[in-house]
Amino acid sequence: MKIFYCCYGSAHSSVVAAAIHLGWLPTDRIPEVHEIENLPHYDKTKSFEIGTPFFMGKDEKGTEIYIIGMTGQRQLVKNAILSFLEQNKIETKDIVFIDTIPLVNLKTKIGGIISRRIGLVAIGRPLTVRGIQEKYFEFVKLVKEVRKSLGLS
Amino acid sequence: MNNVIYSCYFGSYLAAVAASLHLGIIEEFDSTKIVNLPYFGKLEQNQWGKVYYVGDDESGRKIYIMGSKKAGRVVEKALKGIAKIYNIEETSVVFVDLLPYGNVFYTLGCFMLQRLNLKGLGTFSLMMGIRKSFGKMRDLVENIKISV
Repeated sequence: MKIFYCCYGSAHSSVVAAAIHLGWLPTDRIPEVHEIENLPHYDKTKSFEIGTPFFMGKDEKGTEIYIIGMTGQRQLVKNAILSFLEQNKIETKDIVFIDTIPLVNLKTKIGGIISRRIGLVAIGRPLTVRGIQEKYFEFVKLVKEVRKSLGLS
Repeated sequence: MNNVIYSCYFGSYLAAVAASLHLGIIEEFDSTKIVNLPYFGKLEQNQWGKVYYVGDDESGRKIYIMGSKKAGRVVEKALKGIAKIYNIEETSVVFVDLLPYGNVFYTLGCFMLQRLNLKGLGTFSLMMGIRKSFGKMRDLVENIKISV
């Protein structure tokens, strides 16, 4: 089983969702700034890397957790991955894509543009974290549903 | 196992021509032959991103086409990464984005065909565009045939 948390650039929302899934972030409180900033790949993915799936870890059931950025073309990229595997006679039933884009608010979006595209990390990064913190319990809810569907608590 | 994916915005114009050049289905520019190529002008919006098998070349590589809009680079990274995850060699994915081989006649032709539904005029303009890029595309395909 493989889960791909997907967002625009695999730098913010997908990282946070994957981290909650893997138990790296709390589910009962909003994490501190440093807890979010220190996550692997958080606000790190460069523009030219977008599209590359990054392995984050395995959960208790052995499900492989990945993050992937698909820019604004999520359906297209998903089509590409699934049809490519099918052509290579690889089973695609155990692949799940979870979209985290709906949980990205304006602060995370603008912070992401300032940090990733313009390169002003000192200004953009804290803004992305603020946005994530505001939406945090929705992330927790999304991941809980995913874990529940896998039979995990 | 080797996969060569020719891609353009719609997947069914430049990519279809390049794939057919690779497979030797056409060698010279011939608009009557081109409109009858496999998948030519036939991919719909909901088929974008999917790879379509066109044939095997002499070295046994599988030749595909795909419509990737302007996301070719993202798709290429995704497929190479996925290949790695599934232990298919990363080098087995050759992604050729033909976006730079378009020109104003080509773009105009696509627009007339896809948006305005002007078949005659659209095809005429499209063919002018393809004819202009045909030599360059043939060189590109020849290079890919040698290098892969």
